[in-house]
Amino acid sequence: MIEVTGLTKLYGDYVAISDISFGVKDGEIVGFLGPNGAGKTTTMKILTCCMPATEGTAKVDGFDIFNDPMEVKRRVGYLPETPPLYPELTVQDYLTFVAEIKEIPWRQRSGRVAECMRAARIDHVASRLIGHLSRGYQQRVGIAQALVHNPKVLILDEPTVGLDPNQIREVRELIKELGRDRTIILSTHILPEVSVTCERIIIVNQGRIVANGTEEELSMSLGGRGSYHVAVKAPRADLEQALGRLPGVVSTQFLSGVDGVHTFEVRCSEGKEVREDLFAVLAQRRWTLFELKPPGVSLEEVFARLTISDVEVA
Amino acid sequence: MQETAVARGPLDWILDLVAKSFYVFKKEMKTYFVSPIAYIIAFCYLFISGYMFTAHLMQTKHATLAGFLQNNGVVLLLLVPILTMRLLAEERRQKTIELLLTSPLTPTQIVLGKYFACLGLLTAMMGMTLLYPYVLVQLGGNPDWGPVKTGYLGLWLLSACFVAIGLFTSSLTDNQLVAAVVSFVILLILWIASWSSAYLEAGTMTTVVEALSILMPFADFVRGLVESRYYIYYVSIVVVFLFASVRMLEASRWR
Repeated sequence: MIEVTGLTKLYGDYVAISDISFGVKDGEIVGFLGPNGAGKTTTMKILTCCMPATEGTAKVDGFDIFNDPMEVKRRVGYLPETPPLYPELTVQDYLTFVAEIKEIPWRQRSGRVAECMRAARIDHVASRLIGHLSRGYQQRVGIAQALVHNPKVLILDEPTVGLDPNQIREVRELIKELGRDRTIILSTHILPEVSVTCERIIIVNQGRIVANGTEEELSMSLGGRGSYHVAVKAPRADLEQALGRLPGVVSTQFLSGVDGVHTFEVRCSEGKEVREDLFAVLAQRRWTLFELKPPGVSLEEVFARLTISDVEVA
Repeated sequence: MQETAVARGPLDWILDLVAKSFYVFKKEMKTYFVSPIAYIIAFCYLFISGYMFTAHLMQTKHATLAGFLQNNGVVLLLLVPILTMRLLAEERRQKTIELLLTSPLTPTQIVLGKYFACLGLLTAMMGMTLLYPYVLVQLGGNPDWGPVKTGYLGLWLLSACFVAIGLFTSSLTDNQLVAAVVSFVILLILWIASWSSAYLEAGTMTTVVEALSILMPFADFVRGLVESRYYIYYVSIVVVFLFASVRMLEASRWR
């Protein structure tokens, strides 16, 4: 659906993004994650034809953003960082204007506008001036605006910024709902947001893509491979000995012990499956297994590891 | 998934241009009338116009609109920048320009819609002063209708130029005040040019200065003297500044 190849954008000498390439499949929800100033907004502005790239190009639904910008604009709904609202207009008038310039035939206009207001749950403020609405409602009008022409692709730049926790939950649910039959790219620097809403995560830092994959893939790739955390209710010394004797185990390390339940990190040699033997030993000794898991890294750690070192340099 | 773009002829292009400019026009009009700005400017304009008309009539006791129309040009010179300053500058400041740029709109459609909205508002304001020739007739006067008609035509063409210049300065910045001040300065220079030509000796310099003076052809319009080069002069000013605004809007994407 979206094919980005080698996008680069310079502001004078400042490199905003450099050689960004990624693809988004039809119907996917992709989270664009990165610290402030990483190039998320720049990438989104280029994808929506708001701004041209210095180098590289992208295709949306088969149309090139540089050669066929009009066709791309017809297929993309965009919620910029600051929702593009006219405070002097009422919600209804504003969305009607958006429907007009987004080429909705006049017969369908009022229907589409009503539908979007329902989707964003702003139908009860339809006749209020946008300037009089609270920040949260304005954000929702911004989301409604992106939906008016029923675009195949939605690009949302920090859709939950400025909302209270309840509204954030509502917007996330709305995004998931919309994602059922649409392709969505959303940017954020709020980590739980991506875990909750996105199927795939692209982490950008200082204008480059530093990671691209599902949350599990990212946490596995950074977490140690071939090691497990084992928590067993057993005497510590006996347990350590038993674990160390398992075939394939290279080392064991005590992590914690609470109420007789001891947790060890067990490292095994590459490609060796120790979990069956481990279970057999524990069963034989009648020790209860409380936990057995690969020590995956949380998304927060992934993000920190990929982005913090560079921040310190800068 | 690729759909071939529908082949579009010139007629479709024109229909698209008219329709989308009209949507922008409508939105600008709504904005003008929701905010107090249109009412304040219309009030000031009509108040000053009314005073000038009455004062001129009391002094001269002549059934003519020449003095009124001549002064009206200067009043508009001062008021138009206030109407045009927000047209594009405010879109930039509020970042609503991003909505326009990511919609299937061309910069030309945006500029034309905004231009005609502001000019339409001014036309309505000028239309209200048509009460004055009616008053002259009611008072038993018999004005010479030729100069009245050409005078109004000239006034309309003059404000068409003012709006084009104001729209252009609004495309340069995201600060309304800067836009207003710059268009004031440009309009003032064009006005003052007509005075200085009186001090200069006849020669190339006076020709240049007179060519710059936007109010000189207008003076002839008020007197009932219309030459086709005046139309060309005013229309070309409008076209040049609108074209420059379109290019500025396109260029703003590259920054």
